Amino acid sequence: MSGTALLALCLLAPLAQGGALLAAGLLPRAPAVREGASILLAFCHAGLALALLQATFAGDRGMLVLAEPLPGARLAFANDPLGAAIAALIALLSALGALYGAGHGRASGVIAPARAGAFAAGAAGMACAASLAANLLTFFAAYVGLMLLAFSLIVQDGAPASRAAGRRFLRILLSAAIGLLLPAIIWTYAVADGVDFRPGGVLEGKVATVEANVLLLLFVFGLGQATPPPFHRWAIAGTRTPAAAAAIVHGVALPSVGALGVLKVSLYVFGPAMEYARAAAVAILALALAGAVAASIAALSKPDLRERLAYSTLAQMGLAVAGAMIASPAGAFASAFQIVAHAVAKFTLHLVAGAVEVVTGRTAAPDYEGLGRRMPWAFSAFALAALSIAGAPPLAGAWASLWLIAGAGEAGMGWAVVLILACGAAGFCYACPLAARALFGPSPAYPFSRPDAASVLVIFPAAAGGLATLGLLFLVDPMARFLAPSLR
Amino acid sequence: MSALLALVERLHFPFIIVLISVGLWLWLGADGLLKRVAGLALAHSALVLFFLASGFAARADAPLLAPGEAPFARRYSDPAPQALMLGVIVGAAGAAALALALVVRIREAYGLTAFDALAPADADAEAEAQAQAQAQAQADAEGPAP
Amino acid sequence: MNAAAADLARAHAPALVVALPILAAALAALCSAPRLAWAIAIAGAGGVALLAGQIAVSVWGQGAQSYAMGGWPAPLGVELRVDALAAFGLVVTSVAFLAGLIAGAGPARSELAPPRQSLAAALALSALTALLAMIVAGDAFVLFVALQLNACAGAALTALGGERDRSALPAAFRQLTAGLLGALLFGLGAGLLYAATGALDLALIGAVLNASENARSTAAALGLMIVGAGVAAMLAPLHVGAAGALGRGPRFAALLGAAQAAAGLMVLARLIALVVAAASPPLLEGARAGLAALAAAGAVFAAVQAAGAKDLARLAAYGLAAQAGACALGLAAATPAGVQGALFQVLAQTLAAFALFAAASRLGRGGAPIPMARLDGLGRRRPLTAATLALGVLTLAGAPLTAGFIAKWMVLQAAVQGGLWWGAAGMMASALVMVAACGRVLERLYFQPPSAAPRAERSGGRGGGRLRRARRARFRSAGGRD
Repeated sequence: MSGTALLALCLLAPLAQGGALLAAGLLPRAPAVREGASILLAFCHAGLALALLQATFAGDRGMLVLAEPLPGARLAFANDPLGAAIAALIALLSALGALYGAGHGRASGVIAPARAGAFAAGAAGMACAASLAANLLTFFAAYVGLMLLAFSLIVQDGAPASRAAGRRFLRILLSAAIGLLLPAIIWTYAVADGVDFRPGGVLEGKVATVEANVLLLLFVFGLGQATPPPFHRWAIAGTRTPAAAAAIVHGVALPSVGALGVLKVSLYVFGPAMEYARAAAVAILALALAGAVAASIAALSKPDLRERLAYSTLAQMGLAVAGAMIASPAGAFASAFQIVAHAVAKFTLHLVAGAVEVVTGRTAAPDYEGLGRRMPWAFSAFALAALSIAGAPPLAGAWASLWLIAGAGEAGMGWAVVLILACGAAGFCYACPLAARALFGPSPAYPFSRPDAASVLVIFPAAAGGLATLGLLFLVDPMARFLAPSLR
Repeated sequence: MSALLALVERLHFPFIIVLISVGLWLWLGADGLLKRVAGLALAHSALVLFFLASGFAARADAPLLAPGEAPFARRYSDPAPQALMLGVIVGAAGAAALALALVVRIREAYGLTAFDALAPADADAEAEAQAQAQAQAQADAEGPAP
Repeated sequence: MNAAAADLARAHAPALVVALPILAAALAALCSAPRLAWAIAIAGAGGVALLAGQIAVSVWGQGAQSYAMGGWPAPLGVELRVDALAAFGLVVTSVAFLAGLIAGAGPARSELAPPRQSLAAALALSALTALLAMIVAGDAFVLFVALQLNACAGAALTALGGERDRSALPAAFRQLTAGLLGALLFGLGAGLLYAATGALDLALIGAVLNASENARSTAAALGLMIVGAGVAAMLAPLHVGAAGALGRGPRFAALLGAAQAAAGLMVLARLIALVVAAASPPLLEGARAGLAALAAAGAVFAAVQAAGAKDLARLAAYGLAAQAGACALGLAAATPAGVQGALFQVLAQTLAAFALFAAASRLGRGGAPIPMARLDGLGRRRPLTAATLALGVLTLAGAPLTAGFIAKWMVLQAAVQGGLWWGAAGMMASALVMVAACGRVLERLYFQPPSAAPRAERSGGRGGGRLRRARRARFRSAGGRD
């Protein structure tokens, strides 16, 4: 199959999944049909995304143009290596998420499971569309679409607290997107007569120092999903999302798309023009790393596990943004690999947190003590993911941090290396003692609310995620070689 | 006579400005609705005068004369604005009539013609209606119980 | 015979397009049967739409045309000018007006007493005449008269709502004041230009202005004319009369509001074309900066008003005014790209406002007010109306890939390229506030449980007590909790 056809199918599959879920939602008596269709289509999506990645690897570049609303700004998708890799990642995790959603939805009695599943599938689809976007216009449309679907998931139980959280979420992200990102895109369009993502950048030779710095600031702060402080507080709203959807939307889609946006802007919009925006890039780098350390320390003080995971996301995305701002091949690869490693680990942690929530009915970190004795598979995965977040070798997070340190060292930024190490140490403190106490602590004394809820559908995706953080070890090198041409 | 005409010629522009300012002041600032309508008419009259005056040039002769014929009038003014101003006069009269009709309707509905008092009157009525609705709702809630 | 008549109609289309609705208005006013009056109104507006289509086709084929009224050409006679701009405006305005009449005739019949209905139809047609004259007029004086007629017809339409809600009467008076004031300022500007150039025909003025030396009076004249046209275009903060009336007058009159703003913006476009034609750099710069300042400030102002609106119709009216600001910013750029964006914006805002007012007229049966709480959970209860509303609101907010987004993009790009940075910044601020205003509506439509609705309705204001109780009963029988 040609790359273009694969692209189209890859974008259509999540739509079909969401549509099937909504249609099956009309038959509330047959959850098995709904879940079966959803899982099948989700795995189809994952297969298609992998095929697309394979095609990209083989050099088959597709281009899917849907419309050209403005001259030079088309609604178009293309499979560049970076985008295809992230799309495949999201699709794979979304397939695991569909499995988990089926098991978790039955056990937890979430409100309107069909709608939640459809929104989660749609969000994964939007994230894929954003990854595969061929230009800033398409990226912006998918980015806003993802945001709106995430909002729908936050407020879906209709509780006043959820609505308040959802409103805050949307206020932060949407005002950044419309107030900063969109002007930056239109400015780019006006200056460069085009908004395509092009290796080598579209701004090269078109902007002077002042313009480049302002544009970079507008872009990075506009991409609120990459959690640049002060546009980071939306992440806390993820605690209101149903657990199964939170794993894929708040663990994977939102931060990955945001960080990927920053990376793509630095590589394919600025390119060599990053040289002119040196001052802004260093400022953002410092802000992102300082924010990462602060978020890691803040995560320590959060007893609610989902909230702690949200702060951990802030810290991890700070590292990804920092990699993109170093503007060297090593930094760019560190950023890309950080996105992958974080997505897999955070997805796993969310899955385990959701499983604990439904089995024990508790969400606070102290209640995790000794749970590993009752749920050994889940907590083995949890421990692996926690170590990966902390950057312990040989797990995925370690390689990302190493590349980042290498990139920062190459650029002669010793202070950045110190901050990265501090961030790793703080990450170790908030993630690893928790995992250790869960595995080795005394068995919990309190009664479980639903001891039977941890079905294989719930545990298998979590275990697979934990293994993946280990397996990524073997992917670092192929991935570096695969992405190298597009990161220069 | 010619001195008077010259004076008028010099002063017509400031005069029109004064006239239009007074008209606007009444139209937009007066409290009574009738005064506002009067201001409206005054401002439109000033506009008419302005156009007429700008078509009125000193020492201008009628343009269409047979060779050798003496000018039949010492002073001549452009007929185009005069014709146009007929339209404006009609339009202004219509607008004033419409405004007066509105004043009549407002007086019927509110019993007053002080413009600034209308919005508070509405607010009062709304508050009253709300209080009534609440009382009605209470009665509804208590009524069917026994 | 038929072919001859068709040829005649084609040859005189620019004049007929103005004459037809005013004749139909006279006819409708004489009708005592309401049904017949509405039929005449719709037929008249339909005929106008056909003529507008014909004009557009002929302009497309043969380029701009000038029609000399009564065979008297420009300097002495009255010229009607039909170029691409006018053809676009004619089609948008007449189609929007026709759609407004078709969608509004039903609500009007439930809202107005039968004797007033033929009057309402006649007034609507008079308003249409004024709008079309505003678009085709090639002459400042005809424009002035059209603006006057527009103000009078609009205010009279609003006043018809006074039977239901007396606050429509002061709103009508305010609309009349604002509209006539705008027309008067426009007339003063035209007078100043006439005194400077001896011409009233816009094309002639453009040609002569170049040589004119009275730069200050010319600038004043253009400023007055732009402000006057801005009132008709509902350009905030000049929109206070018209937009307030749209929210308070009868619903079907609000349906015609979108067309009104479109026609007013066409006048602005014509003035900008005049300034460009005058080819005087300081004059052009002044007009651009002035209009951009007005547009940006107005867009922010109206958006804030929309965000604070307590009634759906008022939100739509203020939203429309904010959109007019976006359009005016495109015109202020005074480049082909800017005008293109502005025209696209006219299209987008007309569609959006039409969708909003149509949904409002369906919700507020009999012209009852629609407090925001009425929208709670509407997506469940009335999916079709809610979807219409949501689409309109999304376009108004400029959600990606909607017409409103593309139009704003074009306008912003033109403004940035034209050096109007601050105008673009104001526009973005306005867009942000509009997103908040529209997001509130979307949240109520789809994310708020409907159980709160009847309680809020009770406190929702005067009028329609019986209706309210009936609704509550229906709601109870549908299984809702009160």
